[in-house]
Amino acid sequence: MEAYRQPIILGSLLVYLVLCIGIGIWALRRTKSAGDFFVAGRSLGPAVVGLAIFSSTMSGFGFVGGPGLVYSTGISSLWMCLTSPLGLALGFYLVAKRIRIVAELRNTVSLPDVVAARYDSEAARLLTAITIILGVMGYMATQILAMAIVLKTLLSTTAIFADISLITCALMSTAVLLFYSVTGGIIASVYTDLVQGSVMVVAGVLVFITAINVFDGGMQEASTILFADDPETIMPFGTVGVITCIGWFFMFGLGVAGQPHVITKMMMNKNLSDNRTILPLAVLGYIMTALLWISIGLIMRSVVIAGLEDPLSAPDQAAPVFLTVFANPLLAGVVFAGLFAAIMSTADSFLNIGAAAIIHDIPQALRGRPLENELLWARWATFGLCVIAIAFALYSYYINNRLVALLGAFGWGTFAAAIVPVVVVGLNWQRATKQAAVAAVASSLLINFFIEISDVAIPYGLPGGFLALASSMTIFIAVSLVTPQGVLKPDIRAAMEL
Amino acid sequence: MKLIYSIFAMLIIVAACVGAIFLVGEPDASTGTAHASIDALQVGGDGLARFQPVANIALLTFSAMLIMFGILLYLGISEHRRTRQCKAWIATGTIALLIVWWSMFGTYSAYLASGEFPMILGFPLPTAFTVYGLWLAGFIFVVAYVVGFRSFIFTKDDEEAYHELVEKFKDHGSTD
Repeated sequence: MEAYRQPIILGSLLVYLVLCIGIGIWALRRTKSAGDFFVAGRSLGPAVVGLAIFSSTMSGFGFVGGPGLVYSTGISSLWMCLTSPLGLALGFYLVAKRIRIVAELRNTVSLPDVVAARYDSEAARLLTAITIILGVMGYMATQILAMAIVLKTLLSTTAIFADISLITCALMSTAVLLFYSVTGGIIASVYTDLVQGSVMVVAGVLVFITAINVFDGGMQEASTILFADDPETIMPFGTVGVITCIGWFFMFGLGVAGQPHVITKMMMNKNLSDNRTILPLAVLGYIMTALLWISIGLIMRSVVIAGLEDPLSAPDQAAPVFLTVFANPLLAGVVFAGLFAAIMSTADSFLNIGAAAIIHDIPQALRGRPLENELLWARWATFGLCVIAIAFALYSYYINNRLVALLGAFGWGTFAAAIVPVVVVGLNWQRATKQAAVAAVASSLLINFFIEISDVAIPYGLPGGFLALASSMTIFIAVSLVTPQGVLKPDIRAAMEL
Repeated sequence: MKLIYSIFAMLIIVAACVGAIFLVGEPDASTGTAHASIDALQVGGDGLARFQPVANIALLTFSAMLIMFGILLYLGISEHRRTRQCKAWIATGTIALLIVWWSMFGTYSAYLASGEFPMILGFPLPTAFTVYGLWLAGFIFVVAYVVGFRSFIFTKDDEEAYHELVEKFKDHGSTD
């Protein structure tokens, strides 16, 4: 079987991509309105929503960057992924019920819609939409680049595609993503998430089992090797230290409840009572997939330190090298398909919320009414966003990565800082005001932008996203307390009291 | 005391701790350095030297954060559903998180002082609290959500009220 490793891996990937295209064609028939395109007509079952939430939270970062970070810094990055039960619980306790009620009452199709309904403020809607577009561009560019690099790595091992360019790989991989995202909108996105989530869970569990059997003494032997080389690597805060770790915990734990591509999916379930099933499904899915993140990094660092493998050229090589050296070809095929799944499931969610911000929220905020024929425009906006993201991705790879790094700063941290106070707290506190919402979103943009541009050195590696989130929450509460409380619309007040 | 003031108080404590982090001296390589012989690897180096200046600040900051998470979760429960059962679940989860954190902190401090530690389930004891304790303690809130769903998250009465609400407002507009 070893002789067929590459054909098996490429075959698995091909099967997965064909499946995505098939789902896109199927979803095309079910997408008849903008509501179907953006929130699946609020008709999804608990398994679909549960897997969609976890798979869009766990991006390609969890499959490549995560293991690379553990390889490079030891235990440290576990403080990002072990927050998931608490983080998703925060999302469900504070957001899931109320956002679904508001969606039903106001027929909302996007997060800025919900913000505008809660605060009766078009300024808050506009700022939220702008934040989403900036974040989406950064995220999309990095996801497309990741897909292209992985595809190039795989294809260049074959004779026929040995000299394939990164541009061709970017176009090939994005074409599939674009096809099902344009034809089927969020319906295609969540049903591909169902496939993607299942593949990711299987990959996570199988890789974990493989990893802990690399050493006869299991994880304890790996820990002993790591301790002998540098004790801090295997101690609770890893190489980056305690302050960075607790900053990450805050940012990723509370921040998950502020990710628009995650909480938008909380508007899509058919029955509100399905939340009881969706939360545990999402958490278990995430934890099983995170096993890959944790185990590959620790085992690869151990085998390199023990001299059993050559040092890696870059931390992100941890997962590909592990799969090449230790994984059965069939498992490697599943994991590489899982990697594509992880990247695509996040990218398609971002395309969808970005398109909603462009064709629904900004016109609504500026003109007071949405565009005519939103469905058609949504498809064009999805296409346009994808093209711009490819351009950003290639520009960053070949010319200058500063632009994408800057947009990347408007990723997780800014979403968390802008949306946690406004949505997570605001949907549960009637005293919150529209002035506070505008101030919180604006401050999150300014703080993240300032930290990125100024290259300010923060002591002990305290993450900038942590500072932005803690500041915007404080500003949000303080401004709400000193500005006059607006009168809530009766339906919104009733939704918040239920 | 209103919940939002408690959250605000925790944020102020966190802000004060951040201020202290800026004021306290930062040793060299507080966030690690490059490995001496292997490219792309970082090492933590002298754990005691980089932990000691910020140990108490970290202890207070993370404790305040965890308490704030507990209060936030409680804020998410409708006021009229904040039953004794609900309070017990939220308190149990929050206390479990705090115990995990304090145990991790205590055993790590003890290791830095003595250089010794037991291995638990493949990891040094302080790390075992991170690897197993953090997510398991957080999982209590997930169990609480499932178990308490019909008693304090979304009861049958709430479901009826929700359908009435939809009936009342969906057809008549938001400003009725």
